[in-house]
Amino acid sequence: MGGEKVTAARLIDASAGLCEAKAAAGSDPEKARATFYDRSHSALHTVARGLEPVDRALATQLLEAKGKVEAELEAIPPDPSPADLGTLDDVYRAGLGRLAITAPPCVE
Amino acid sequence: MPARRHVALAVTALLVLAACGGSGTKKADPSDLAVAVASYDLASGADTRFIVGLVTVDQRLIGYGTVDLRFSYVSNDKGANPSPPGPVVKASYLPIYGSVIPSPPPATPQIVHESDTRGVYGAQTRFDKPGFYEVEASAVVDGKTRTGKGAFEVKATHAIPGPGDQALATENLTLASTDAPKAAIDSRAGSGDIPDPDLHRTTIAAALAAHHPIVVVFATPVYCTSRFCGPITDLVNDLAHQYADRADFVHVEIWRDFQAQTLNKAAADWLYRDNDLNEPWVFVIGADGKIAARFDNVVTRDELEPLVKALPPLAPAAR
Repeated sequence: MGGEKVTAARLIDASAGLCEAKAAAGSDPEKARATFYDRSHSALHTVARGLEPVDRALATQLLEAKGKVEAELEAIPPDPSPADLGTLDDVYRAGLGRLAITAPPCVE
Repeated sequence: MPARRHVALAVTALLVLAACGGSGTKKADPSDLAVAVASYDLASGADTRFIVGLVTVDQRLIGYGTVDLRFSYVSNDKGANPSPPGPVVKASYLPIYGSVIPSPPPATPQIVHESDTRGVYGAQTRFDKPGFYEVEASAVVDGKTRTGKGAFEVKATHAIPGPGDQALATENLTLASTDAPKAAIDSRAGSGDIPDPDLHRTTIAAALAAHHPIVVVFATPVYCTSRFCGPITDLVNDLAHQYADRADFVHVEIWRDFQAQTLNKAAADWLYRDNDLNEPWVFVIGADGKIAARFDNVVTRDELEPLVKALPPLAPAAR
């Protein structure tokens, strides 16, 4: 996708990573940050690139939601919002859906 | 200005492999590397910085140490005329700004956590003639050699202004551009405050007219889609605070409106070529108005800071 070879499983796991980061955001912001970057970050870029030619509005939403979360995670100390991570996962899963890939929502 | 934008060498083909490998899909060797050429605007005939990102087949980044690169000429636009690989060129790790690097840093390449560092490998090299090339990258990770290949094009001449060229006297948006959306000045602004205001106080044209050295970063912090996107604007902002007496520092946001694919004119004048625009870029411009250095995609503090530090202090009245 977007010039990269990537498995669907990897892209789906990135959504699970966002769910895990969301769950950790309130109690362990450092864990949320590590989970976000180690499991989800590169897939967000990949999917945004894949969406650009097919659904630019969704690519825009995805990048803006990602940017908001990154700003929170890069604050010193990190201050991630569970709600913003949830929004990012919602938009990301919508993006995957646009690319015919289904990822389950977060289990609350 | 409407625009189509690609990340370096990205193609629009949708290529998602089935989780267990689809029929007809060659199963990847775990020792393979995916090689992502991260350089933009390569040209023949002069020494050039070449940068490449290395990723395992399961999408984990390689970082630290040095890797070996070997370049092969493949073809020109008249057809294939392949040549054997050239000598090994050593490439060093260039971490994006903000990476958390242990001290001392690991001496050999290893799989890294993106929460600690992301980056590319860079080397100085020279391509004798224009055409299509292949780079083979080889990294010894945990005692095992991993290799991969990537393809790229070298043009006869640069399309983007480079060292020795006169800087373009463009009128980028500033804090005074109240008729522009805030996000057109810095995509991080959204509808709120414009971050890094010190990077949005002057135009390139005004700084050139004042005969000030200029450090310009062309970047879209929110809408960058390259995996190697880093906080390059933050780097330039930090240098702006530390070396405010040496140069004017300018951030040019790429997009007037990302969704509508409308570029900011200053970004387009500098970077939009052949219906394409790659970013980010950093340019260092001397007081004589000529470009002294340029960096594509990734630049480290170790590469950029010495150039800024070497600039003579501006006269107090000039600041």
